[in-house]
Amino acid sequence: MEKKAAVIGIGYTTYCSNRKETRSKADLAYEAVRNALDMVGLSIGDIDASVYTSVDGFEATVRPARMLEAFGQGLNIPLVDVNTGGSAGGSGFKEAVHMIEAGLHDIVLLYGAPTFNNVVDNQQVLNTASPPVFEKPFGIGAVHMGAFYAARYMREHGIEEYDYARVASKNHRAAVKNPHAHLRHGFSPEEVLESPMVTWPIRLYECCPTSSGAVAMILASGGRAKELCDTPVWVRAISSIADTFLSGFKVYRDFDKLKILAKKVYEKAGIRNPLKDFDVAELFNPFAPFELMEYDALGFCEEGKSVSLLRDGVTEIDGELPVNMSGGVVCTNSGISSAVNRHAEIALQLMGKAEGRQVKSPEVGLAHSWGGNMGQFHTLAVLTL
Amino acid sequence: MSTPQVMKKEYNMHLDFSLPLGKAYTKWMQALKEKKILGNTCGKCGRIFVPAKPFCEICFEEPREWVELDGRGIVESFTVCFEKFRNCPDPPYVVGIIRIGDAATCMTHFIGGLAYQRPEEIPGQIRIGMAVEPVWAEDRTGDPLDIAYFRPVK
Repeated sequence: MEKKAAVIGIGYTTYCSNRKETRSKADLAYEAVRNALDMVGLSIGDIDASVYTSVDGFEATVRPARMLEAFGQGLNIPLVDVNTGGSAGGSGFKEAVHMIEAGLHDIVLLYGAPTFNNVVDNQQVLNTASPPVFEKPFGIGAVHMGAFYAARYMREHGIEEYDYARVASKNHRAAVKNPHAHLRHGFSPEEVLESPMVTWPIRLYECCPTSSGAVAMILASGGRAKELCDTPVWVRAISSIADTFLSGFKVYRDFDKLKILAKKVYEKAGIRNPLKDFDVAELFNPFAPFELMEYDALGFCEEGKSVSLLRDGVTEIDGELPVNMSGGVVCTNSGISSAVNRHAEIALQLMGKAEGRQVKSPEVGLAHSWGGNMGQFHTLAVLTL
Repeated sequence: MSTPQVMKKEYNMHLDFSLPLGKAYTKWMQALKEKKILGNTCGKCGRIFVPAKPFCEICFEEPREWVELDGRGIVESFTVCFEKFRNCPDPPYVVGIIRIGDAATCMTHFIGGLAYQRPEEIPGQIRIGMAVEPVWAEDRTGDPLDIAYFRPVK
């Protein structure tokens, strides 16, 4: 068994507002897995192992182990549950890769569940992710955590509200071309600035929506990947990093842990100049300002110069390194699914199957995910043709 | 009788928990009752933890020395919430990341005592790096909410 792992199949459902959702969790899982299998021409019986991802306690409905049979549970294969908050999709991808690289399995199914698609008030649910007693009583959900970063980053680097609106608009414009995106309004920076303030300095159109939808991916070992797929997308390097649960250790100046992770992953992947070496990137940006902090942490620019990349159009579809041509998390956030989506999008881009959002002939891509209380976890994967 | 195309079922989970705090957190919480903000210090790296910690996560040692701080801190970051979320305070409310004294860690807490006519003016009232001090609650039970909020130092 060859130890290299590749992505060979991607299956999406459509994405919509959680309020408008009519499909059950099982419907969504079936649709995503069915689409992934069909892309490769496999049947559920061909799967050797499944990885699904969840966040403990979020409405109890993200425990697919209890209620879904779309992952081949009936077929006596191993099932692994990975939980690292919002980044569980990235960690699940990593687990699937390791299963193959270890020579344990040839064909692995990864499912990105819709984590909070049945909530009535998402921030109420996200508030339960905060440390009880010490932080939960202060009424913080994810959107507050995002604001701590956005406020400090502004102050550190003289970034203006307009810059945050502009990076949000870049994502909204890109989402118009992505049939799998939830918000496809194409808001201009001015429209973003006119949207209501939610948690200063983050405005409504700089926040991800609560979406419903799911994604499945099929990964395979080297030999099988080449047999089953004309354009397998290889995993060149992958890793993750963790931080403490209590947010007090952070001063929210930047994504310092991501910087450390990037150094390690780039070394493994032989990336010397990320801006030149990557052809496409999908970065986890549930709040638009995160994308700028990620440019910094990932070494796309000199520290604090992220806005100049934006101003110069470097990260637009025709720029040197297009970022979040899917419209990013800021336009579609179905919980854990959105961390898997970053990897699915890069795989589709490298396969040349990204439809209207296709970047010109990319060969090396970067997928990132972020999650946990105040962003405890990051994952990074370098994918290549 | 017409049948809806798909049904939705409402449910909720009212769950109760009881959280043992252990020695370090208990000592820290008890001091709040007496209007004292304590920190504990790692004997190896010398960092002060506020809130106190049961162990230093870098040196992996138990911080044995305790210090009392004057309670003054600085705002490392903050947000002003303008939306109403279930189980969260009524807006507008301000949550700050506050570093007490020379602590290596910060506390998450409310910032209050601000003068404003309209909610939109609040962000302009707070500055990262601004000095704040605790305003104590009347009834204290040994909880972070024994501090009602932090206010700007005049």
